[in-house]
Amino acid sequence: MKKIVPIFIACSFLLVGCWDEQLYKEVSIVPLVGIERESEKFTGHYSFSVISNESISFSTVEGNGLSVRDTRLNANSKASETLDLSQLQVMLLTEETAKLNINQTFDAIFRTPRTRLSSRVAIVEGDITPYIEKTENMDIELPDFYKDILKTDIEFSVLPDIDIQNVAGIINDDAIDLALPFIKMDEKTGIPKISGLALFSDKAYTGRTLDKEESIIVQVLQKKPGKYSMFTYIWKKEGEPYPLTVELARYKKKWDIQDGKINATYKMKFNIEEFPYDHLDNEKNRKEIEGFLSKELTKDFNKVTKKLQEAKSDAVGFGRSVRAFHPRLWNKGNWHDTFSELEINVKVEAEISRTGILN
Amino acid sequence: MDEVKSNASLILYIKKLFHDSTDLSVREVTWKDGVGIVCFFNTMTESGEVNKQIDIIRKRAMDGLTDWGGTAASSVEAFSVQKLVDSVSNGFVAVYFPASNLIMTITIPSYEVRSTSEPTNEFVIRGSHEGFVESTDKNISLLRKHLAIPDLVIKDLRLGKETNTKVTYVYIESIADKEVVEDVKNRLENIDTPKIYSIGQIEDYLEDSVWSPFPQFLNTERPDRVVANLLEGRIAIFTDQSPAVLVAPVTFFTFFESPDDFNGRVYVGSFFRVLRLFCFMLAIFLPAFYIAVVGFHSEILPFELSKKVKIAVQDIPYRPIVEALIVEIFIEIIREATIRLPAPVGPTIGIVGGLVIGDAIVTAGLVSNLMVIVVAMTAIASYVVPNLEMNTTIRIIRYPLMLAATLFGFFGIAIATLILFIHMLNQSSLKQPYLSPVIPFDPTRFKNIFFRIPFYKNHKQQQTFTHGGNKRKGGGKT
Repeated sequence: MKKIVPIFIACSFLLVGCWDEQLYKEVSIVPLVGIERESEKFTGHYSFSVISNESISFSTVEGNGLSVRDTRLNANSKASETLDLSQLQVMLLTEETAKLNINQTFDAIFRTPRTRLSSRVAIVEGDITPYIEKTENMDIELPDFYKDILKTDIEFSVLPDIDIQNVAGIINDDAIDLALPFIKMDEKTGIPKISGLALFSDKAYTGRTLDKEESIIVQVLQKKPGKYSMFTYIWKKEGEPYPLTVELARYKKKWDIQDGKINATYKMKFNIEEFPYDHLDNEKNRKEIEGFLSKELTKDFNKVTKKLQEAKSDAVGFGRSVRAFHPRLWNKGNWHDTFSELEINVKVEAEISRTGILN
Repeated sequence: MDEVKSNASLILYIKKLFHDSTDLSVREVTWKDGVGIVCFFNTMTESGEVNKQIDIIRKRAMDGLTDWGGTAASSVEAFSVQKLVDSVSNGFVAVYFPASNLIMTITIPSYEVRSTSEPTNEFVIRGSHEGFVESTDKNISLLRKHLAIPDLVIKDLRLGKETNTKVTYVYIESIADKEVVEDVKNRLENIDTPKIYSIGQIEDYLEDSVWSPFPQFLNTERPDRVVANLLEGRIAIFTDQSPAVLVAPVTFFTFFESPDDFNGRVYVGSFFRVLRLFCFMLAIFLPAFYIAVVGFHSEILPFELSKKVKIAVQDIPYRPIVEALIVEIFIEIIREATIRLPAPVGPTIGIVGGLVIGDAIVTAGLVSNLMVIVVAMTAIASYVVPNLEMNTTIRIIRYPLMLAATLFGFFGIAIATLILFIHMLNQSSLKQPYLSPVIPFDPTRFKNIFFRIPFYKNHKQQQTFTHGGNKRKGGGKT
């Protein structure tokens, strides 16, 4: 026994390198991936790190293949080092790709243990190439750019806090639908910008999108807002317009689900962020503002739910409550069809709780 | 006439016993009835003092006192050659009276002992700045000054036929565990070697397992540390001519306590104790962790950091383990060299070695700058432990961990850590468990690892590590 131990130790040196070792200097970081799909043909755009003069920059390599993994193999042979998705920050999908079953696109990502599950996913409008090639008028690297703009909009409740890991959960859940960030190219500046949410129904993109204001309402409806959620309206008094910006402080939601009907009530408390008319210490003024807010918000919230119903996309997740407590309604048929035919009434009751340091 | 001749041959005979060493003085002195032959090493004895003592004793003999030889500094016994050789070798003055066949030994020690100074390897900021010296007698006197109690027991032993070294073990009778004392005594008596000249040799003989990287004896040169340990029921072992003292039985956590903790305030003491344990972890795991990350698990790096790491490691020609070994060995060389360097050039070479070469080695692309950061942090962290033995141990056991990390990544670190802890659990110091308050678990003492409990709180008296239940009221609130 005592003789075996040193032999074993000596032999173990020979094993170096044939285990799952992957030296960091031999891999190339891929923080940004773009996937295009045309029925059976996948094209992957991989943005990988290039080091020159002690600084890092990213260039893009394109790979074709029959699957997402296949495109990576194809791209691998064109890049200088192994492409490693463990530092993936953002994954971009074209509208065409998303319109097909996106489980097929994500399978390779979920299956590999090294994939970073906290990376973000977004849908881009049109052709993917301009989104993944750095243009001259961009002063920061694209992966950082996408990561930062997504992070900001998540903070301001425009986008849901969804990463690759959440996508897996939501995709395979019948009772809730995915809503991913939708990125458009700004025609004036040539820089990509977030335009709102792309709505999914079941496992595919519906082709319908929401704008930023509507996206905030989706976040608030599911009671998963980011750090800040703000609404702005113009309040008219004696013919003169006054801008009114409020920030959502606290709120309660109550869903009353009956057969074929959902009454959703939201009791919200707001902080006033901007209101040049002032005089909020006046009880009458405040009541008037609260009434105005309630009316406007109720109108907008109902408009958003209508849009969701038209898209057959339950991004709010009413289905989860229905499935849990109302099996009769749930078992009526496919939830997406049931949802689109439901009568959903949203009612918002606004209350002003803080007015800032002015009254 | 005949007697004179025989005295002369006796002197020759004694000189021959010591192989005509030049520092041996053998003289004839006249005594009441006949002569006395005085022999001593004049290098170990003050010759003038010898004359004075002999005069005093001769006067007592002339006055006709019956026990003329029995003074505070001398004693009279029946003569034997062995007795003569022993007492002269040990620095006594021996006077042989051929007429009555008696031998008188007088203690007049005179050898150089350095004055006490703070041990250079155990500095403290607050607390006593005394240190032991190379004489057991002086060391024991330092100890007695701290502990003015009759319970302090001091036992001597002579070890090594050729060196005849004095080994002393010290304990407090009322606190120390009898079994452990008995065990130390037996182990010391069973040391069978012709030569003993340092405390390190004794440590080898006494240790439960010599092949373990972990020290089982606390090696210290500080009297206050020894006193604190004696009061916890431990035993201290001194050898003559060595300032270092062995303290046992100890636990792993003893090595992380410093006199500073007890002299400092409660929070401060506790904070630094936790910091030291953290540094132990850091010193052992940091290089292994880095190797595992760069070699296997780059996915755990945050994106912002990953870019910097990528730039750092991109152009390094070697595997991470080779890179780590280059810097680690280099640091060990600097450390070893600075011990030997003459004091005036020491800091200069340290700067050249550390800064200039450290910078150049990165610029040359041999190792990455991150590896230099990791190794430098590790080196600093390993010196936080207030005991030289333990910090050498720490520096050595991180190599197997680095190896495990390069073979199997985090999995390797986990396996190596498992083996390390199994080994530590199997350790014992004088048959007492090494990881004591943790395993076997003792909640009251467990707290003491991390917190310095205020002194007025009742402390559980530590006698052994296993028996437990021996509660003694602490000093009380004064």
